[in-house]
Amino acid sequence: MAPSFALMTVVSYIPLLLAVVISVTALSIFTIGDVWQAGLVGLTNYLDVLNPSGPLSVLGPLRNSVLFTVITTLVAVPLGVAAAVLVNQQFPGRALLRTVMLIPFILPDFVTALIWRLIFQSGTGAADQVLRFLGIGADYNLWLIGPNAFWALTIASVWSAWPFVYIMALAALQAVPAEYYDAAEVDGAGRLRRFWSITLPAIKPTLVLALCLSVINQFNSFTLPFVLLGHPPAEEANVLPVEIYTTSFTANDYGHASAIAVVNLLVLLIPIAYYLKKARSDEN
Amino acid sequence: MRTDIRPSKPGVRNRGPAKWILYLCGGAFALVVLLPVAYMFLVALQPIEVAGSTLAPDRLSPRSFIDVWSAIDLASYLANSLVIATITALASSLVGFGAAYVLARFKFRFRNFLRLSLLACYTTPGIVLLIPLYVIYVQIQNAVSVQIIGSHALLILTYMSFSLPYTIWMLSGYLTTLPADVEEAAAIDGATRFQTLVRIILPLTLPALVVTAIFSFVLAWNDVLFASVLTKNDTRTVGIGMQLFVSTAADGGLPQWNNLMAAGIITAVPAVVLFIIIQRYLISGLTAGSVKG
Amino acid sequence: MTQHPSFPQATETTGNSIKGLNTPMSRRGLLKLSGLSVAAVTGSSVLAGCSTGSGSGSGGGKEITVMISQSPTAPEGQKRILDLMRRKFEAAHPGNTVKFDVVQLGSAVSSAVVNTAATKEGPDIFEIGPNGLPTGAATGVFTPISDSEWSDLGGKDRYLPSMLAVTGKDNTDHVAIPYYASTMAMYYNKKMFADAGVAAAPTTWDDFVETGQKLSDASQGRFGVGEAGAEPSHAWHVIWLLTTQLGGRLISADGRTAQLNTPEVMQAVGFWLDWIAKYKIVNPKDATNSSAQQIQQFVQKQNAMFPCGFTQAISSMPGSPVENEWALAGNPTVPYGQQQLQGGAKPVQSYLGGATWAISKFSKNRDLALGLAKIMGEPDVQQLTWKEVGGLPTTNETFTAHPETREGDWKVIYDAAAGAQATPWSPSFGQVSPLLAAAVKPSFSELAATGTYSADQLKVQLDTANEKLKAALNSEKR
Repeated sequence: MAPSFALMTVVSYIPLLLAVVISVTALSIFTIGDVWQAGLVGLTNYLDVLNPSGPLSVLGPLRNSVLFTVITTLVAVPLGVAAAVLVNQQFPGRALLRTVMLIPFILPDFVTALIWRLIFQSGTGAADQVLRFLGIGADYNLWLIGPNAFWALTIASVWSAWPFVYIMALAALQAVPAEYYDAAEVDGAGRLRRFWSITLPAIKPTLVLALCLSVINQFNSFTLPFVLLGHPPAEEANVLPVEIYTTSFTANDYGHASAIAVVNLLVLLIPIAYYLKKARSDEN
Repeated sequence: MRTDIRPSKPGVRNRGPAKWILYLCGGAFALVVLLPVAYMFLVALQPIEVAGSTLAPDRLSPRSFIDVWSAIDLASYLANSLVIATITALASSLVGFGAAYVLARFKFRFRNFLRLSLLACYTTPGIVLLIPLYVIYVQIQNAVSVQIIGSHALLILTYMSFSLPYTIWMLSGYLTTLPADVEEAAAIDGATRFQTLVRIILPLTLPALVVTAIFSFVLAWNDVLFASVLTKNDTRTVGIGMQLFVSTAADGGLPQWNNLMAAGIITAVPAVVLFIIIQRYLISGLTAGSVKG
Repeated sequence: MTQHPSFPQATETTGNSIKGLNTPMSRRGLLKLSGLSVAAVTGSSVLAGCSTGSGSGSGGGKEITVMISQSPTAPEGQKRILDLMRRKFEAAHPGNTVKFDVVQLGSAVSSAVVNTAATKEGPDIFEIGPNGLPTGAATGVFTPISDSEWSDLGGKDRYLPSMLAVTGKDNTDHVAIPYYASTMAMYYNKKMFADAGVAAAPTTWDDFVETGQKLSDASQGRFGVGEAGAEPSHAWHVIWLLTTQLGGRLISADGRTAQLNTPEVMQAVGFWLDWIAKYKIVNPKDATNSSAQQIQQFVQKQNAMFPCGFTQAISSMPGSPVENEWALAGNPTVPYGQQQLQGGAKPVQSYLGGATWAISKFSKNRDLALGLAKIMGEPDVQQLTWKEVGGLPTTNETFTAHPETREGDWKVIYDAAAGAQATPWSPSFGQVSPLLAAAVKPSFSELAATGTYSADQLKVQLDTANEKLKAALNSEKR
């Protein structure tokens, strides 16, 4: 207990505080040589990034991030649960299927992003070739820029995100005592009924956790959009972590970047708070 | 190890959904997962001139899987990543288990605050922590006059800062779902708390531990952000190696989708193999069995 | 041997970093971080992560360190060049040694500059592209080379004037020594040109459009010109060239005012987009091409030409299907709608990329560093560099000793280099690239979807980009 929190203090809490400190300074590449010159600017950085009409506004990326996260999670969670319920049944080939389902989770993000980048190449990529073969849509589509970019990102993210939910749901399913089912079956409960009244309540705590973690994962996802869409990304698919990156390393503006990061964190507090509340009421 | 989740009662349990529904759904999932992966293999095997621009499976050759090894120092990247990811997984599971147990079983003053801070740590984007973290490491390094930046150990500690909160969080959640009666039974039998922990709780927690270990492993294996700052030439991990390759491939002039995909496949193989081996843990129904027995 | 001979790194951290597949940028940017973090620890000693250790000599002699990024295309050839320099240096300065710190990550050099600014320690010499120099100078690591030092190096007139010009603001206070140059040029297919009855490469943009139309048939899906719309650094290359030819600028001459939304820039971007919208000489789907894909289309004869290609594309031609058909020409220089350059305007084909050597302000062996820099300019080293990694020499004596380095295809490069115009001397210039790339993206996707683009929307995008650049320039002042 103590050692793990000591470690976290050094590697998480203190850096977190420092990040907040940097967010109220004008630290940039020009003040790097003498950091004390950077100077405090109060909440200016926050006002800049939250000003809807300002050039440094991050409201667009913020909206993208929220939408992208919500959609990805809403699709990934049912998929993951369905997969877990499926492979919790007994049938030949189940072990193989379980392994296969882990693949998107195991693949490193940069590999996943490369695959989908290849799939979404205009005209030559697999997506366009298949669509052409099926006679749907144009000869080629621009997947990686313009409004489609958002959906390309969402599709790739769902593909890589659902096994996370699946693993957690499966772990929870396995902890459900078999007697519950046996009893229900003896009582004559149907399959669907059993799912709603036994399975779902039993795995609900884990499911809420999975939902929460999935939201957090998507919201903080950096490598996938970054590699998939390139840099600078299409406006429509520019998400907060990439915007933080841009501000840090394109604009070399560490003050504003830290402010965006803190905003990023504050937004995430909503699912966190919700989860904590849920978790506590479940305990009681 | 048992592969069956629930000890079944013959005749009652066999009334699952019809087989064809299972196969239909299973097949759909498998297709969704495997098609992109198959595409990756196809492109890796295509000749460089057409790689990625056609679905035609002609003139395939495994050349790229050989070329890649000499193009970049893949072997050394893989070795570094294996060491770092494995230790991260083991260490955070063990350390996290202890902390999670305390969090789950004892009520104390700052409990909720600690839980909140766990999530706060986990939810902080790496990109936010990178700058301040480096400042701290440099200070430590200067204070002790030992070069720690670039070492495996430091990278492992850094990854643990992300995997630990998650592990503790996840395990404490899992532990609260465990029936308290097994512990009470052990206590009645005269076991000390530590004995109970090791002999009873730990085995019960094993499936969850495996899951958290896997997550920690993947986290360390996939990272690129921290590795790019905290590794040096001889401690580079696969993420960095891939990035390096992507950049040099792009600079050479023509697209090298086949080599890139080959590198992607190779970097994914160790993780895939490891998962297949330890998947038995995931499948085993230790919990249910033990509660019963 | 910067990673991108054509495109210098330090200021271009983002724009250029994601070549084609767009991953390497994180490492580039992130390595920069080390600088930031060290900065916070004022007075800290050598940064361990990057081997930037300045040499204190061993055994009485002194060691100087040169930080270089590895040549992506010819690392072995690069070693031969460095060996030659080392041998020559040790012969000329007995007892002293030189260490070439060849870093695999391209950004390591620019991050080392920032580290050096923070820690006051680092390598003696940085090999860096011209666009990285204003930033290095702004951080105080690169300081002007004095007149007496220039005479020790063999005089300023030893160097290609246009390349020397980009190493200092307003061609004064030069902070670096030219090593090699690279430029933008037009790649075209002689055979396809001849088949279409076109005798020579276009020299005006009117010609260019006309030639493009002869080689295109949109209804057949045939397009004469290839584009690289998704290559991060490509947008500013084209826009800079067209704007400059129109007499405009992206940043004012004094480096203080952002000018990304001027009528000249609007006209330049509009003309570029019209290659797709109006003249139909570019496939709308090229909006998502990386430069690698652009080159691939060219060698597969899908396109007959592409302007603003970089010197390293030469290396992709031998052994390709166009091996005997490709040729190089300068980019057209006369703006669209004009028959000739107006009022004594100078023809501009390119800005200058390549590599320069900047000596650290904190070097303890400045005289030895200058000694090595002098050797770097000698014809055998320069010729070997040309041969091994494909960089245009920058010392006049080399062109005399090895005339082949500016003949044939290289004449195009040489001419473009000789007539190149400097980019604005601004530490924030590196941001122009990503800002412009982001600004034109919506228009490209609009073009692909509807075949037209909205000038109003483009103006809004450019206004936004300009505001961001303004903010960056302001932060410089702070």
